[in-house]
Amino acid sequence: MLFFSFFKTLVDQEITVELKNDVEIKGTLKSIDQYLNLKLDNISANTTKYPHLIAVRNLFIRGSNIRYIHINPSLVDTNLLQDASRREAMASAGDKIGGK
Amino acid sequence: MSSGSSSNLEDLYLQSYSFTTTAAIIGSVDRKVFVLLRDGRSVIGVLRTFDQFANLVIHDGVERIYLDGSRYGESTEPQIFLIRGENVVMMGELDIDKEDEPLEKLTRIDYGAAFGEWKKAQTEIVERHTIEDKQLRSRGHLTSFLTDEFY
Repeated sequence: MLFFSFFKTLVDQEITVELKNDVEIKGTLKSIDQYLNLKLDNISANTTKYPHLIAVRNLFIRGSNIRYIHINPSLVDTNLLQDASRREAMASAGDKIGGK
Repeated sequence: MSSGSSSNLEDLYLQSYSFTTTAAIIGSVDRKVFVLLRDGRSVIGVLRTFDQFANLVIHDGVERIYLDGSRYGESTEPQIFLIRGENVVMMGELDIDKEDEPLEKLTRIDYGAAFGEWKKAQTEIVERHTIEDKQLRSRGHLTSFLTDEFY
């Protein structure tokens, strides 16, 4: 659940989503859920391939089709993220030892 | 209830279910949406209901196929679509004032013809991958055919 929590901190920030078919969509992150489905507002994208995106107000992208999410480096506290991931790894290792 | 009751209800949902699939989609219910499917086709219609897997029910929906950036085909008979979530790439709420804007620069062709061309392009992709996969397998590589080129 670490990346779910991480993306929650990025709400209202501008991100670029790269889909598995190489299409890139830029927009303001409005919502994220446990499957890492995204909801974007104010989107901009290459509209030759998807002409209907011109008329779209907000976009729900299913997480399973996403390859990368490009984030402005200034929005990410990498030290905090590293600490958090280690803590989560420790916690799950502890679970195994404890037989949970 | 006041005239703003529907948006208040929406806010209530968003507050109690924030950061769920439900919260992301609920605002688009009863609005005109486009859904891009994994096979490259889109469905345009009114979103009526959905669930946590993004299974969608589209009312009065038409299928639309865009070809090479200059032409498109659209099915004529509106239908009800129940779309299984795994086939959804994205879903967007359409601005009704602007929804025909992208089509003005495109030529509409017969849906059957558009479907035929689209199907042919897909078959070519599959055939190309079949050949590639065969060559890779003969050299001991494991392959898995991904359909990300379709949409």
